[in-house]
Amino acid sequence: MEVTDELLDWFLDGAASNDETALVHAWLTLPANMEQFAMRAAVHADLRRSLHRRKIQQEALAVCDENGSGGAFEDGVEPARRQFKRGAYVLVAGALATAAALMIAFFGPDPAPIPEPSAPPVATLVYESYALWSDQERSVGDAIEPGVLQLEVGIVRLNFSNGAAVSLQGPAEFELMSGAHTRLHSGILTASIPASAIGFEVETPAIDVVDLGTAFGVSVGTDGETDVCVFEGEVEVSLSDDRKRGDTPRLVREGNAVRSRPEADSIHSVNYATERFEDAWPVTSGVLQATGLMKFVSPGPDFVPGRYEDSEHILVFPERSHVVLASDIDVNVTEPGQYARVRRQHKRPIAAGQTVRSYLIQLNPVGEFSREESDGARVIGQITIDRPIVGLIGRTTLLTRTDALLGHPLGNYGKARRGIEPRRPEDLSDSGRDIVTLSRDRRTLSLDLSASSAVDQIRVIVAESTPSEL
Amino acid sequence: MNQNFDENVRRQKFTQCWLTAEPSVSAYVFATISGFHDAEDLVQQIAQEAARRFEQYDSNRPFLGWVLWIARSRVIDSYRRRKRDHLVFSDDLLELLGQAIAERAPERSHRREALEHCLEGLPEQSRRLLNLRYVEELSSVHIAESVGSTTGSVRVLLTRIRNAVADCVRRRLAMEDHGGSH
Repeated sequence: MEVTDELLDWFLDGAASNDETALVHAWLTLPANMEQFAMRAAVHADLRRSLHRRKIQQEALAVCDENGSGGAFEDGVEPARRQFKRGAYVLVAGALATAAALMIAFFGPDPAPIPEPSAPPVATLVYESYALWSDQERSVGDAIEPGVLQLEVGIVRLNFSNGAAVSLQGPAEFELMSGAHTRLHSGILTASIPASAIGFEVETPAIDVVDLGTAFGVSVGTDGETDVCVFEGEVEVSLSDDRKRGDTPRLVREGNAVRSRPEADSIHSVNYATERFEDAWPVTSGVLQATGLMKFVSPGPDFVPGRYEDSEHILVFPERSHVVLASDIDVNVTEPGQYARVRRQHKRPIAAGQTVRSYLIQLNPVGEFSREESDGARVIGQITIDRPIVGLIGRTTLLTRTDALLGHPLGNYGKARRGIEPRRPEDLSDSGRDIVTLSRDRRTLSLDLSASSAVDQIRVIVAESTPSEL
Repeated sequence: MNQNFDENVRRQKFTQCWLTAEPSVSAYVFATISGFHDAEDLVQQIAQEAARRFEQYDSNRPFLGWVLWIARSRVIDSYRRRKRDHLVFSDDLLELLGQAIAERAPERSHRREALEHCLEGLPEQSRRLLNLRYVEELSSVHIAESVGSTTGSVRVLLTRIRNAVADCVRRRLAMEDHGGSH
């Protein structure tokens, strides 16, 4: 048997049989062949890297287009991205449909017609991770009409036309009755609801949840047992039957959780536990991708960031969303680039009028490290967010000053030094410690942090919308 | 104070070295470990180990050679842990592959730039197939199922697309060389 490009590809895809593998191994003992193989392996690796990067960009653009693209960041984006304007997601969906049709034409003798939409779409599929649907194929960019979605595995995010963002974690069965009325038959859902979508409803077999401007998670077991966990703001909950009788709903505030079963006659409080939502919630809160060394944490009641100790990971806490800036706020970094520590305040503040959300990024190794031991607590990581990052705060004074506005409402941030500013005169040199890189498209933040005796924290401020979109 | 300064310089240097070497390390790991996720995890582990042991690195020698040496050890560990029932690379082949990848490293960044241009010119249906393979991470069997074709056809098509991309990259690099000489 001859070793062809096709066999090499088959081998690199991990699909070769033992006989084929043995043949390739024998062939590789010749240096020229090994060189050819190395080139082919590089093609595979580069294709994968490039296509992944493009997909993340496309998802961010889809989210951006769903909410309308702002003009404030056009100088920071690449020319090709500028061509995307409001409503371009329709073109993306169209392009995907065209591609699907071409695929069918390419592979089969009888191209299937693309079905006409039966009802106006109420949401757009803007993100998927390892999603497998059991009812029909869907792709990022697809418009979602009222109906039932059956997600077998994976995580997806839907952006509703009214601004609500909902992530589903499979296995899940989720029904869209309208743009503001949904039903989770089973599975896990997390939702972030801006003021424009207050009143968004999620029914389950046991509980009806009506949102009052908030973020929450709902989990429905196969027996219909329902848990509701409120991350931010408040929701109204009522037993499905009570609601029909018009009974007064119960209010559940952030940091609280409730549970009920389909046949139960009451809803009872349970411990606030966010673990089951920790895969879906990052996606809802806008973190599209985090490397293995970044760990997403849902803040809970009595949230004290400094109590979270982890020597292996940089932690990401979502803090606040949909905050309208009443006045300019001072930050340390507003422009893409690489920053070795944060030395001085940037002259440009974030202008009043923007709607923003915030995340706190923290490296806080277990125990206390002396300067000499600081080797043990160095972590490199990267996160990609669905909207542009407009500011970074890395100095303790500015972190403290923005805690009230941008910190988690339940957070206790303490008074200790916690920024990544230089701590000693010798740190003022271009030391290479605590390097923060904001990508040109403002979506990706790369961090190389090393914490010694103090916590390292950075507040990341992300634009939800700009004044022109309000 | 000097010690602290030296340490900081070393960290900065590591970051620079790793960013340059990472595409080659990824190519090495993805060529030797099947399964995208296992390979990704391994690249992360290699980065962590290289950072931890960076002081042992002799800066008079190429960083890529050193980090590929770590990668080789981690790949071998991974083979042992998995107790695979099918064939894996011998130690000698791992060594030869590391050498071959290191030799091609200087041109990697040009190749990756050229690849970006070549992907732009790819027909939509070809890009869709590549996405199913590399982004959706579907096997040829599942791609065939999802597009209503046969596994054999998908295999052949994917190879043709990769060849087209590789040819395009070669042509672009040749053009750049030609342009650069004038």
